[in-house]
Amino acid sequence: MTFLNLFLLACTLTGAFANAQDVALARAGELGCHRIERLRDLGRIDEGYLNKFQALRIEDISTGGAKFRFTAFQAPGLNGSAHQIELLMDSAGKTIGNHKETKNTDGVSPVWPDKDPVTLTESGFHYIIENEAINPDVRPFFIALSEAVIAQVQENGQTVAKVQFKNTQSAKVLEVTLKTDGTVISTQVK
Amino acid sequence: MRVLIYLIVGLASLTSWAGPVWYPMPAEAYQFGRKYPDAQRLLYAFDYGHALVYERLLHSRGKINDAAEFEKKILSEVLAILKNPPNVKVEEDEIAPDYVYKFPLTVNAFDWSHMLHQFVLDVLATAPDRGKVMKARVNEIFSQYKANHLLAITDVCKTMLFMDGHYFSKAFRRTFPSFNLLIWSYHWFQIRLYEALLKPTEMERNFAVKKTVDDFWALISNLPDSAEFDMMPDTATEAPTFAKLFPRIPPAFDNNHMLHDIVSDILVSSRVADSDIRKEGVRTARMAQDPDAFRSNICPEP
Repeated sequence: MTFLNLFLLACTLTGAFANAQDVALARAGELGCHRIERLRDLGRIDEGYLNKFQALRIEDISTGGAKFRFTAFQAPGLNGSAHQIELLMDSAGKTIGNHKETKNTDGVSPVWPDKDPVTLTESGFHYIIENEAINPDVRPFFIALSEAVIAQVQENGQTVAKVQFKNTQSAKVLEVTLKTDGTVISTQVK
Repeated sequence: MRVLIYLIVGLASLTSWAGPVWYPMPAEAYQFGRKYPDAQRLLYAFDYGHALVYERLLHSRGKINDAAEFEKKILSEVLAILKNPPNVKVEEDEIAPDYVYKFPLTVNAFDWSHMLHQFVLDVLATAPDRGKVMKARVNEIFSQYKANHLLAITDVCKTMLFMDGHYFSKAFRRTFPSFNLLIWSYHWFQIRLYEALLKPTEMERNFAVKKTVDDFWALISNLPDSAEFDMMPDTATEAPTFAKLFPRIPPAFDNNHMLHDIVSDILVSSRVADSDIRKEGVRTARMAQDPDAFRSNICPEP
C-alpha cells in the first residue's frame, strides 16, 4: 500500500463519523424530548416521565465532555419536589449519559386526552426551529433557550396546551398554544 | 395467435399488479449491484422486509396481545431475510397483496421513488469522475422522476409534523421500538450510501461502501441498544456532501422515509378504524406529494 493510499484511507476513516453538527440550545432541547420518548419506549423509564412531564431546563455547560445538560421534570407533589431526569449531551445533542432522581413524592398531573405533554412540547420546539431564521423575535429562543413549561388550560370552551419558553438573552416569553392533538393554535412573544 | 395474446394478457392481468414503469430505463440501471452486490442485496431485502412487515401488521391488527413477543418474532423473520437477501427486487404484490390493495397510491409512489434511489446509486457507482458529467446525469434522472406528477413525492421539505403530527402518529415506534430502530437503520444505510459514493477516488468509494455495510450490521447487531437514533436519520445530516451537490433530492428521500413511518403508524394505531385505512393511506400519500402540505421554512429554494 502506497503512502497516498494510506493517507486516503486515513482521511476516509476520520471522515466517516465527522458528520455530526453542533446544535443550538433549542435543538438540544428538542432532541432531549426525543430521548425521553426513546427511554420510555424501551422501558428504561416509566410512563410518568412522558405523561406527567411538566417542565424542562436546558443549559450549556461545556464541561467534562458534555456540552448540554437537559433536565425534565414531572409535575411536582405537594411538598414541591418532582421526579426528574437529567441528560448529558454532546455538542451534536446526542445523549451521552442520563441520571434519574426519584423524589419521595408523586405529583398530580392533568390527564392529556390526545398527545402526551412531551410530544406537545416538541411541537412548540418545532415552531421555534421552523421560525428562528425568519422571525427575529423567535431567534433568542433558538440560540439561548433556558426552559419550557407546559400547562393545560381551558380557553374558549376547549382544553388547550400552553407551552411557555424562556431564554437567557431577554425577559420575554414565547407562548405556543396548541390543541391537545398537537395542532398549533397561536404563538405570542410577550 | 390473437386469441393466444389476449389469453396471455388476460392471465397476466389476473396474476400481477402493474407498478410504474421508468421508460426508457437509464443506461446505468442496476450497475450499482454489479459493483456492490452485498449493498444491493441489502436494499432488495429492505423492500422485502418492509412489505412483509406491513402485511403482517395488517393481518394482525387488533389481535396482538403481547407486542414484545410479536416484535421479537417478526424481527427474527426479517433478520433472516437480511442475512440471506434476495438477488433481485421482489414484487411487493406477491409478498403483501393486502397491503398493496390498502395503500395503492403509497405503493406506487414508493416504487417510483425507489427507482429514483436505485438509479441515482447506479449513476454514482458508474460515473468515471465526481464532476460535471456525473452531476448532470443525476439531475437528468431527477428531472425524469419529477416529471411524473402523479407519483412523485415532493422535493419540498416538510416539517416533522408531517411524520409526527397526526392523530395516529408514533404508534409504531411506541409499540415496536426495536423494529422502528431497524427501519431507521434501513434509512440510515440508504442515505449513507450516497455519501460513500461521493468519495473522490474509486478506492475510497469501495472502502466507504464496505464500511457502510459493516456499520449497518453493527447498528442492528443488538437492537434496540445498538441503534442510537432518537430521531429518524435525515439525508442532509447523514450525507452532507450529497445534499450540497444535489440540494433538491434529500427532501424527496426524507419525505419518502417519513411516509414509510406514517404507513407503519396507520397500521398499528388503534385510533385508525379498519374501514379508514385505505382512505388514510391515500390521504397521507397525497400529502407526501403536495409541496404545500406541512411545508417547512428550513429548506433550500426549489
